[in-house]
Amino acid sequence: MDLAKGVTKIRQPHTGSSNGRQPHATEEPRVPSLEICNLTMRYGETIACHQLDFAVYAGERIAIIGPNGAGKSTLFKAIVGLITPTIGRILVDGRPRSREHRLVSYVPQHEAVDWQFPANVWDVVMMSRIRHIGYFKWPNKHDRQAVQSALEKVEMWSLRKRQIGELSGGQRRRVFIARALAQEARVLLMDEPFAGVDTATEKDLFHVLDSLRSVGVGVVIATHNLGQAATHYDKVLMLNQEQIAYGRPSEIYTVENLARTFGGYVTLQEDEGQHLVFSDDACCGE
Amino acid sequence: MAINAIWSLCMLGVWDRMDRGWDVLLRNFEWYIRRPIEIDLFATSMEAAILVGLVSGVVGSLVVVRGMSFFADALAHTILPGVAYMYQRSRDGDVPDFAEENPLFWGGLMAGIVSALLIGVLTRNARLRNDTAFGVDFVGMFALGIAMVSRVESYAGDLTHILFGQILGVSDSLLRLTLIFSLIVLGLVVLFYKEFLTVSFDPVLSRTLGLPTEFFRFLLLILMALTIVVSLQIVGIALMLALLITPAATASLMTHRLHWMMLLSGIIGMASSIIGFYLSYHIDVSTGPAIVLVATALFFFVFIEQALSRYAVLLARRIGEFFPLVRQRMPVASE
Repeated sequence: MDLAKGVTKIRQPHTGSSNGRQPHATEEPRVPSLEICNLTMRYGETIACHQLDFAVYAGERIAIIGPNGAGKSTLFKAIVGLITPTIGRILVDGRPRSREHRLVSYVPQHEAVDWQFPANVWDVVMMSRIRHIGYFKWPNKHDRQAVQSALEKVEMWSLRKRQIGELSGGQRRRVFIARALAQEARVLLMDEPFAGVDTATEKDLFHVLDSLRSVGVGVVIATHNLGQAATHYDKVLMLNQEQIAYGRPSEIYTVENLARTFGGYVTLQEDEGQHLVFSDDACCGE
Repeated sequence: MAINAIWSLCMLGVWDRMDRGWDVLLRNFEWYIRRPIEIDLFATSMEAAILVGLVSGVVGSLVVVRGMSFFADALAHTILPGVAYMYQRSRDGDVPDFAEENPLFWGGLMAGIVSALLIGVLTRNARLRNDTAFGVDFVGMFALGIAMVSRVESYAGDLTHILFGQILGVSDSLLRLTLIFSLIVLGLVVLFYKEFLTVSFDPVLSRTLGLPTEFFRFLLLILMALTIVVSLQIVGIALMLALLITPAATASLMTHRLHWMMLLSGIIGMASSIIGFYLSYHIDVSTGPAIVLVATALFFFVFIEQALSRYAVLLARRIGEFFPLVRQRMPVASE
């Protein structure tokens, strides 16, 4: 929780990277790539998430864990601007989110798109460049390069001329990840990217995520995999309508926190070594 | 191999027929092709129809990929009261100055834009997107329009024209209006092509990128209204949907990229107009239906051709299973 305290004192006038197309890692001073201040979301009377307060710095990889209905998807939708928060602020690179559309990219859990749509892989990835291109203009060399390198990263370059409906499930996911990469955002949000994905793809995906770290893109991933969250991420946000804990896995993986997050369905046992043993019986069924 | 040979023989037969037909056509070129064009009215109307074919093909592609054909049909029907109103006034002899020459066009235009905006507002809320309630409304508007027309004496002929097109009534001034509005519509589609593509394919992405998705939805509805009004004189209200949907559906079978689909669909629309026009002249049928019939025939031609070629590939693969040596020479089936 020390980080959450730390973020509030940072308030730097931001210059430079706003008009550059290439995101670059900001070393010092450390303005968080993404900052959530006292965020509360309500659907009518129901509270989806309550008083969230955390910050993601350039290059960090964050896992959000919590049971179904904990507000993970709601949080993501608020960050990308699909719904407006009831209370609280979302800052991207130190500025209000509402003005920084292209700095946050989002890979939803299920793409609700028409797979028969007349567009090929290239077209779909190019869509994320639309704000970079601007109105009344056509893609330039830089846009084409961004699309190409994004497709190469997810190893879909050879299939760029395929109609999207002809792809397999895993390939479709890769296309949408490539699309998020081509947006060259400062923060990448992914909702359950590993659901229904084989281990090889998962490994590839982590490889891609590692390369993002080197260019200073903050990555926030909602996941059900507690063990992976403990080992593959810099920080973990435990969420169950309210923020249970935020910090390094080694610090916040406590019996109490896990019990509060998952309502007692998860138990944690630590043996002499570094091994954590989870046993859960309800939440991770999907 | 065998299937290829049989296939080629079949195609040769078809080709032979087409070739002979072409010969007949060319031999009597003067009679079949040239003479109709020399009639002024025919030429003007055909120019208008070609424009309409192009515009409705291009806009129709967007309508098809967004699954808005129901809205297109609704729009076509709800403009009838506007047309009927102007029709009444023109029969009474008091038409506003600006609409002096083409009262029905302007009546349709105003009604079209109003109903486009209305439909846009009504369907804004996802909960209100109710086909049934919507269908009730637009049939009601349609009935209102017919009722209004029927109050004018000896209306039957005019009503037929409004409903099914009155192609040979295209005046020079109407052609000019058609040209202007077609250019406006085409220009807007080209200008906002990538926005239309993105908004149609993935509304979620468009919203996260802060694109004004609502604006583009309304814009598309207005473009649809303009297209419908422009096409009003050519095919009439009842057949409007065919002109918007059929060429686009044909094109969607032939390509899987939106800009090619639009281009192809425009070309198919134009071709349908031209062929339909000549057909209507030579076999003496109403023009609107002729155009629509040609467009439909083109659709089925492409559909059956693709089904057959897919079947041929499957068959070739099946043969290949039995004759492994042959299989190695078979073209790879997947594309």
